Amino acid sequence: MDLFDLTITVFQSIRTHKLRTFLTTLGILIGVSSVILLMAIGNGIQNYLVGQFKKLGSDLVFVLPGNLTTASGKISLSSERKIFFAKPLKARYDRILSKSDHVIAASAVGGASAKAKRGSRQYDVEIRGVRAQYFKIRKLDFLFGGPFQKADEQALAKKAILGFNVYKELFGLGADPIKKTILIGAAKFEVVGVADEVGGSMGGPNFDDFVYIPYSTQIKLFPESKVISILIGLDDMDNFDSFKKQASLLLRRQGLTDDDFTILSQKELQSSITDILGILSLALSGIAAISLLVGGIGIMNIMLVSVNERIREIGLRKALGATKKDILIQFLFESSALGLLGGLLGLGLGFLGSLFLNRFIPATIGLQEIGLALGVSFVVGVVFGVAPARKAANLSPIDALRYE
Amino acid sequence: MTNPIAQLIKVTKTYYFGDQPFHALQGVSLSIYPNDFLAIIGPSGSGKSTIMHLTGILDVPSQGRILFKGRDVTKLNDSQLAKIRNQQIGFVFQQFFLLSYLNAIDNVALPLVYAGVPLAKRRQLAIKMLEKVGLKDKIYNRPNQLSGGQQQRVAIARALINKPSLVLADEPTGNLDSVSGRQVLKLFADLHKQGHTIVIVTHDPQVAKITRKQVHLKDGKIIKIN
Ligand SMILES: Nc1ncnc2c1ncn2[C@@H]1O[C@H](COP(=O)(O)OP(=O)(O)OP(=O)(O)O)[C@@H](O)[C@H]1O
Ligand SMILES: [Mg+2]
Repeated sequence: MDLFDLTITVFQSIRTHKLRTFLTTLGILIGVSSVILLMAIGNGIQNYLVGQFKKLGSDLVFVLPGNLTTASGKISLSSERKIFFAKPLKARYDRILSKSDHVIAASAVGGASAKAKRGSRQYDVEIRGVRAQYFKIRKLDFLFGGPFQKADEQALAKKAILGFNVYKELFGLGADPIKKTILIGAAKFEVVGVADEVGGSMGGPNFDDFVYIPYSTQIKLFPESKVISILIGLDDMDNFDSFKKQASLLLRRQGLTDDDFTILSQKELQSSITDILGILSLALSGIAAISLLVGGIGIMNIMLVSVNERIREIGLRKALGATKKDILIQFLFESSALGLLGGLLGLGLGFLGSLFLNRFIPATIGLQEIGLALGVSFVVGVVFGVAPARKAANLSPIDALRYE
Repeated sequence: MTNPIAQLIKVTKTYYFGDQPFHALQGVSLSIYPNDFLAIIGPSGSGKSTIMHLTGILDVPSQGRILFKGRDVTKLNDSQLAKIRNQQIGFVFQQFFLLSYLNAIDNVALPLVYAGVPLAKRRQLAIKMLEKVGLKDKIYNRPNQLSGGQQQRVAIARALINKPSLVLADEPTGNLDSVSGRQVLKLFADLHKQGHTIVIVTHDPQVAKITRKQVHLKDGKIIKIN
């Protein structure tokens, strides 16, 4: 049995039963296209997040309230209850932590929500109260102006840096907002800078909705605000472990226990978010696997039909010298071709789907996805083709020839 | 005397209907020698096709032994049997059994596929064989573009392509009109003259006439050889 003979036999079989072949491959098609789409979305979001984190600046360390480490040693950002019972972080911890080795700068970050107004325009913003040194470690792209200074902080100056959306909504694109005033809550603020568009969030509030003001000002004007994190810039991420040890010690000396805080590198924070994505796509892959299983059963079914239709051909081929193995290979070749065809069609559909989805969420298909899709559909074809092919191979030549 | 190509020794073939045995063949002994031109003749149901299938090792006997070139075929495995069918035996069936999706060339070349002959060589040999059976201008036709007589000649070309020691034909003229039937029989006679060993199974005494030796069968037993 050679490739030419195998190929012509398969093409023939597909050509005479176009509709049947298509319907048979439908299960694989749906399975593969959904796997492709899921992976594309997963990839896209991951790439996007990595990009977002890069924009934040590198070599960052976060101290967050509560113990976010799960029993398995992973980080979970969804432990609301643990955060609730933790002792709150205090703003002065940033000064304490600055004393640790390898720290370039540290800044408490206070959070509050408020309404920003300018004339008749208004917008709901997220206030982030930070120290002047915050801008040394967190690199903002300034569209207008720049950061406030240490003196502003000491003077409790009402100066604000606007996120892109805030600027757009209050001033409109193109307008120069520097030195203009806006209302945040009831207080008048002078705009000193505008950060360029970041484009989205990382599961939390949108960076473009932020308004950065001096931490001291925030405490005075919005006394209900909490320290949501302490941002620390290290000289080199290789020193993260040694910093973490020192910092934990320093914080414990302030009366905190291990349940009150978590020290995270940017990388850990990033993987804690992508882990959530991983679990999500695992669940969805399960659904895709079921559809591949159904597709495989479809292939098995149609291959059994195909074997029955061609019993006399099998008998003839045996009379002409085909071995069991030859017949087995012939039918396995056909079933794997069906699987592969479903995979190719699914890949096409998944690709079109990802083009469409790209308008709403990032989705990218890589070589790895293509390889996986085709590999899986081929394997499904082979595995579910075994039973029919064995049935064909084990027919006795005379029974097959006499079959009516 | 030369050794027989195929030998049936006291062969019985029994089918069971429930626990009721039915003997399609009973104690049949028959030897086929090189260059024999032999007819197996008998009424419908007498066991002619059964003999042919056993001789062509498509089937196994219930009792008795079948030797092919001295080897007991019941002791051979699947790939050894397949090799004998491929290299030593050429089958011609009443219903032609051509594959509808292959043209004449590729139908004739099919045994060469299992012999491991490369594609170009296969086609070259098949075209030669089709010329030999008088179908030079029909080599690209599919079976449905050929007359019954032409289809049977394609089937004969296929049976001969591996230069078998034994050609077995089961009612080769059964589905043909008298003119094409005569052409096919003439072809067998010519092949015999060229040295082929041929067994024709038929119920038709007219057909049997062209052979050298007739084995008469009735109710699964050989009643006369002449
Ligand atoms: N698979 C089978 N199961 C049961 N009986 C069978 C089977 N194959 C053949 N027979 C029986 O064996 C007997 C011989 O069959 P065979 O096909 O050899 O006859 P034949 O001489 O070739 O007849 P015909 O001229 O009609 O082709 C018949 O009675 C048939 O019914
Ligand atoms: Mg018969």
